[in-house]
Amino acid sequence: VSQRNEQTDEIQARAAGVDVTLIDEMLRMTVRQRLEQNDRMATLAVKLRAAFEAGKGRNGWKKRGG
Amino acid sequence: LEEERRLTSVLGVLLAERVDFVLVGALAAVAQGAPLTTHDVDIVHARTPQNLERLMAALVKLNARYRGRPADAPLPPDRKALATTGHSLFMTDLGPLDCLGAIEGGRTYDDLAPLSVEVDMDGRLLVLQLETIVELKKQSTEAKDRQQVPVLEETLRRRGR
Repeated sequence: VSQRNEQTDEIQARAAGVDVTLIDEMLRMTVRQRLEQNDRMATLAVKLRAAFEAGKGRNGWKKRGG
Repeated sequence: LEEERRLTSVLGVLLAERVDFVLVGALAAVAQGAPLTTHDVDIVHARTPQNLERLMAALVKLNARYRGRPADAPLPPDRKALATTGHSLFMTDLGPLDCLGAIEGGRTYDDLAPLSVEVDMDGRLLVLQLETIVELKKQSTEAKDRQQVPVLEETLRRRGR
């Protein structure tokens, strides 16, 4: 029964858009590795946003009137 | 410079200065395996006079200044503000750092330390336990917080297997 409950929980989580593979990958890391991965992802997000706002998108997007 | 997010190093400076604090918020969830990405460090610090001295020293090392101020008129950390239950929101050279005197329900460092797990990170890092983070996110009025609940609950489940 508990295995069935676990499967139901996992199905519900997937339906809510949760990437369970990513969670398992994170749980295999050390705390430091998790934090450093967050640093890399956050830096990337900040740089992408800065590039977007500066109208320097690599997909050819340009600032209007620029 | 402000495009870099070196939040792990922010924690390193706080630990090196022996600041008593509990890591809360999304980074605390990340530390416990939740696959989220966050841009800032949220801490609840102890507000004893000795700890405020240590926190001030760490903030100076991090070149902390209040966020939302013009770049040509930076405001340095205010010790009196840090002694209250209010929230001091800083930008540092390594990324944003929020120093919270208390969080939801008026919970302070003394309330949260017993609800934390201890992590060895070149020092004793107290991280608010995932169960409590889930409770707080569920109670939050912000949609962004409630959206994180399914991933946090699944992280708890998978960690317990």
